[in-house]
Amino acid sequence: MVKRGTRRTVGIRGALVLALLLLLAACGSGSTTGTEDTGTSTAATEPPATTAADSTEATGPDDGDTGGDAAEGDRVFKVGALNPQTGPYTQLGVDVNAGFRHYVEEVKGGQLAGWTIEIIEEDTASDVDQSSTKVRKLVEQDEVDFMFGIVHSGVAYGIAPYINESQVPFIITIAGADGLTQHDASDWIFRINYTGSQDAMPLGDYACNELGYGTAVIVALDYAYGWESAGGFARAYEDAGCDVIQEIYSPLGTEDWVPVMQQIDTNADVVAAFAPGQDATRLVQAYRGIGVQTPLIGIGGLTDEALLPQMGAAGEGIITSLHYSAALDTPENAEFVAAMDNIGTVPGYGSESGWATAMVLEAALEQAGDDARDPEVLRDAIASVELTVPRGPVRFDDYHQAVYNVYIREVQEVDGEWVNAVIETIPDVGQFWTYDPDEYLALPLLTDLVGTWDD
Amino acid sequence: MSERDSGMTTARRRTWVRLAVAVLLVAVLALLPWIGSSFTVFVATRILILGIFAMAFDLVFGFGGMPSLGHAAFYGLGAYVVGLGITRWGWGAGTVLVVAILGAAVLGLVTGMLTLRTRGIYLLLLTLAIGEAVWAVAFQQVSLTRGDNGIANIGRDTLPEVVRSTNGFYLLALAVFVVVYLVLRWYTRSSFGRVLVGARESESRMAAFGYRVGAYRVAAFTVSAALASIAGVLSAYLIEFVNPDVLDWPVSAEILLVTILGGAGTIVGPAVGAGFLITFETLVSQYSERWMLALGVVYIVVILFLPEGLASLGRRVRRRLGRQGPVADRDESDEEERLERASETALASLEAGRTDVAPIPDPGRDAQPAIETRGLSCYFGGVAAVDRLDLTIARGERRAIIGPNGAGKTTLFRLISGELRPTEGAVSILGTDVTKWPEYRRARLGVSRTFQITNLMRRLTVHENVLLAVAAGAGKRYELRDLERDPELRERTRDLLASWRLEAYSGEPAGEIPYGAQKLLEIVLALATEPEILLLDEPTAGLAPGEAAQVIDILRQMPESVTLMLIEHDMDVAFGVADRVTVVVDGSELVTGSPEEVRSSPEVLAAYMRQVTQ
Amino acid sequence: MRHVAIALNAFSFGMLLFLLASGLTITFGLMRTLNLAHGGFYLVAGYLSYDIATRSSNFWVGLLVGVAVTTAVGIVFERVLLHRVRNDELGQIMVTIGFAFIIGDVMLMRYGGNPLLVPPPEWLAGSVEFAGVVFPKFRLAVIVVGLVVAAAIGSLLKWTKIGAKVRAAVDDNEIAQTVGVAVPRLFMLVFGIGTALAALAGVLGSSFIGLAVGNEFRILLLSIVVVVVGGLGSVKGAFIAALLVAFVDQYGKLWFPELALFTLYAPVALFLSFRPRGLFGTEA
Repeated sequence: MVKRGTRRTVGIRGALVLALLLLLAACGSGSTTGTEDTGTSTAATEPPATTAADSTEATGPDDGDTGGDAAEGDRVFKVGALNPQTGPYTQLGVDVNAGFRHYVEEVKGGQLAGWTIEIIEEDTASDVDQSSTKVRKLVEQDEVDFMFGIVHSGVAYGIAPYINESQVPFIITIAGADGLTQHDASDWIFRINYTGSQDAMPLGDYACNELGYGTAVIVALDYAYGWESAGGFARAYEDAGCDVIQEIYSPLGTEDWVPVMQQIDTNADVVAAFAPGQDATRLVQAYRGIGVQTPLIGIGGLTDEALLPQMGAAGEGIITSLHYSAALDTPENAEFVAAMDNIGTVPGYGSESGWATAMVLEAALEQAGDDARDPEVLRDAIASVELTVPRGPVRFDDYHQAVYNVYIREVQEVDGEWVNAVIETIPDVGQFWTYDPDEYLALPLLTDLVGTWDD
Repeated sequence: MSERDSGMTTARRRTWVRLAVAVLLVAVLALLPWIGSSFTVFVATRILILGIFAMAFDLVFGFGGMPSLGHAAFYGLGAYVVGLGITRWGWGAGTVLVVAILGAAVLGLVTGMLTLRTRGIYLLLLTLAIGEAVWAVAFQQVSLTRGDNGIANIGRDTLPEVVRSTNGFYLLALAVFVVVYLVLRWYTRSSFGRVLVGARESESRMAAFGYRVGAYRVAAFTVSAALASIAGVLSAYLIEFVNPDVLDWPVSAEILLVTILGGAGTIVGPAVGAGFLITFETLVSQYSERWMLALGVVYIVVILFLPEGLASLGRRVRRRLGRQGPVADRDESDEEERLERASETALASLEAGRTDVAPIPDPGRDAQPAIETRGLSCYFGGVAAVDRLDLTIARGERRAIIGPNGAGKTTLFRLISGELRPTEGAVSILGTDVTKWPEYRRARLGVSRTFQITNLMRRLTVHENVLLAVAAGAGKRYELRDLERDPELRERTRDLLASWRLEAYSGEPAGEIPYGAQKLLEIVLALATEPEILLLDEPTAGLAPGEAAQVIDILRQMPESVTLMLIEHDMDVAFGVADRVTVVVDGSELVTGSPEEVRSSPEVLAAYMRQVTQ
Repeated sequence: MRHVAIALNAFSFGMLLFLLASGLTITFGLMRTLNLAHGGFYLVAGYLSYDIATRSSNFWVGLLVGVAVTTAVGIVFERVLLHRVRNDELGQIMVTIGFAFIIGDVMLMRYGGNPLLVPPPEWLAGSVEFAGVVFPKFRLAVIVVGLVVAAAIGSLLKWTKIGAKVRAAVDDNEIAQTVGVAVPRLFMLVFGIGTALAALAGVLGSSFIGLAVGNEFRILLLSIVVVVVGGLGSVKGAFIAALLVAFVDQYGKLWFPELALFTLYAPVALFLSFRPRGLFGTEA
């Protein structure tokens, strides 16, 4: 009897559960559309509208939009987008995909150089096992002609051997580990974003020679990107004749930065910080909170466009270096920023990477012509691309790493909004900065030099 | 006889059918490379590897009841041994495997020992901390491990040619899966596995049987860690890459969820969970980036409808379909009636009061008192629960300890059984000073006890409960073979159940049989180890007056060689069984004497009166 | 003077940890349920209060609505789902973690993945300087709130009937079992209080630790550390443990910065090896 009773409640229980969950799901999707309409909160919190649409399944262009191109239907070029849509790096992945998709579908009506582009998005969840599965799915089941993506460098390293084996051209859009385009460079892999040290080296030189800061304290996140960006800064800074007097590393996701910042040697001329994402805002807030007056400089991620609204006045005057700024005054960038504002995506280095990748692909397809689906032809075409994207001119070096301008930016208030105003342009910066590639590669790895800069 | 024989053959037939199904299943799985695409084979390999990991984990989690949140350390260790061994030190596959297994086993051993004193969420946090420490080492020793950039280009060149291809490697993983399954099947049936499960259900009972529970826990941790590292080795060979993420707690959390999803406490259930998760992840995330939300829904729905996990679905379906099966046939009203009948026979056996426990008296040892305490004291936070107690109980004596509530009776028991250590004083049992001995060693001397609140392995069957006691009594504590297949133990278990009329419940979980039968089983368990000294903690508490009288009858008819010491609240029971009675008040001995002496003692009356007035 | 600032800061971090953990330890004490969705409630309240505070440009409205709505969600969750897996630990793990997944994904869908560090309301922004010590006003506020909440829970437990029941349940597993059968409303109430505390932590934490999907599990781990070190169910234990953990963590980072990865877990492991039931723990 008792048992039967329990079983009956299971039925009721089930119905209740389902009802609740449906309600929840409905609330979720409902509120998404809601914000698209109202859009009152700041840009940083806006949901990326394009990705909210559940169109991961290949869509291609709407026939209605593209009009009379139906005849071209057989010239389909498949693109695999391999980015995180869940897990810690979701937003960057979502932004990259949004930039790429928007350029292809809205700006170009779904066609690049006469090819109908079919985009297949897969979620890496920033997990190596899952990414390995997804990259195989894209290559073996969907038979894509080209792929882009990856935020987490570990994932990039993890799938690189397979990409080389399967010979599908791949452009890394975020993952920044130096080695990917240096010691471990591969034939089939390009990178449009920075290497960990690439954008930091010009800052080292600039801080020493232009800003005249003779001594510096390094504060960095204790992981590969922190070590490489801080190391790049330190290498250029010390080679310019200045001196790093202290290095402080703090774990990823440090909840409270105050005890870290309290260790800073206040005799230094400048504090250089190498922490992106949520650690960046906490770091800046903690730094201002303890009342240290030493100037703060750092990598671009420290004052990312998505973080500036929350940082507010705390960010004022921070000087950073990056190959992009939403405040760049060029026609290419104006078009990009307007487009991103339109879809509620923050115009930052993430979405710019996706957009620029689409432009690179377009140029390569044009060059490759009818043979674009031949992987070697496409790869060689990408390698020789030279064009201007929102960030400025871009091309790839012999190791398939992008060469571009690096901008020295300062957080300023312009018309009531906080922006990364460009105060200096350093043209044509490659991953080896001013060093000779062979000599550079013979130097110790930056990850092995952690803790030696302050000697 | 004939009934039992036919039962045996059905059982044997069922075993063969199961074996045939298993072989067929493995054969079908082995055909996958010729049917599926290479992508399917890759996903299937991942499922097998996660399945191995989950099965290994479940030995500690489901069987051992220890919620480890540090298993990623063992898995990741295996993966790192592959990465470092191959890319740094030029090891071959054989060396890698041996080092990984040994390394993980040592780490498992240390973890098992460090967590010995912790339980539940405390154990969870401690294992988490240990796991995170291992993660931090891999993360920070950059010059060795390349930090979070990970070790790439591992390659499968060191593996034998045949298993290098995607298909070959899949078959290797399948073979390892089968081997790990068999190892776990064997382990969980040996006394190592059975005692582990027993301790999950009731640690104090297993210690009272004479099992050194900690040893089984540490052994389980060690074996589980070693098997988990094999999964890690396979994973590193499959992905050809390893980074610190494999050591981090989300991996441990995932394996825990997968195990519950599939069915904790079963061997193959966790593997089913692993298969479900990877399939779900791979398929659903193709159609929606909201697959995490869907996964959350699935977790909730599954556990509400299948509280024992996905693997129990098969059992349910079988039960639904196989209407002719004895289990499916059983109607619930019938069930209740049947239980009632069985309870009657069980109580009838009390009336018969028979017992076949008859140890041969040893005249040399008979000279020594069974139990002797000298100045025994135990303080809890400054308050004396037992205060300088001197007791001598002779061999074969029936001694009752009575006293008002909070007099320290149960504390005295726990001091004698070894569950507690005295603050001061000494305990001797059969002439041996056991003051510093742990409970399990005292049990091996011949001390056995019942618990005031029934203390059974509730989710194990009545048969398994008794089997564990019998095995302990027979000194078969570290048997490698299946305890169920030991004819001697089986027979003795069956005889005990039959003589106490409990055989009707033999296959029922002990926690689900009627209370009277549970109380009876409590006494059976204490007797099954063939003790020389039996400590009974309120054996009649909670029983109906009729039932209590029957229990008293049994106790009266115990063989003379067995020393009885019982705590009673109920004076009638105490005076009915004991030949000597000790009254304890406020932790001290008030008076000791024959029941008549005690009954007429004015001091005793005063002590009890005082309690009543208070 | 420097050490005054450091100690003050450790104190404020400790109070935040206490806020995070107090709700968890209360629900555990009474219900023997480890609510793994605790961090999820933190997230919901944080995002909601931020959302509403920016829309209404009133911090208090945001705080009120955020806490109220989250508490309501928590109570509905307890009534509809959680109480169905009473006495089933594995079921509780799955239901609460499943719910945390759902919350996380809904928040991601609604608010995106950019981390959010909500600026404190105007009157709490900036720092105060006192005898040469510079200290952020907001952190002082966290200290005050932490102390007030500690006092409030303490007296609730001590002086009210509910408190007496909760205390009894914490001490005795069996009482906990029977209490649950007899008074489901008590469960609902206590779970509601627990959720409200998580929500309050979410509102304050959004200006301290920040909000980001994925943080809910970091928050949960931090809370579990404090609850376990303090001893399950003990509010007093959680209070002391929160301060202990904060001071060890902060001074650890200061004195042994190269061991920063270990400053949280290593002392905990060491501590639990010696005191397997935490500071004031009764049963596992």
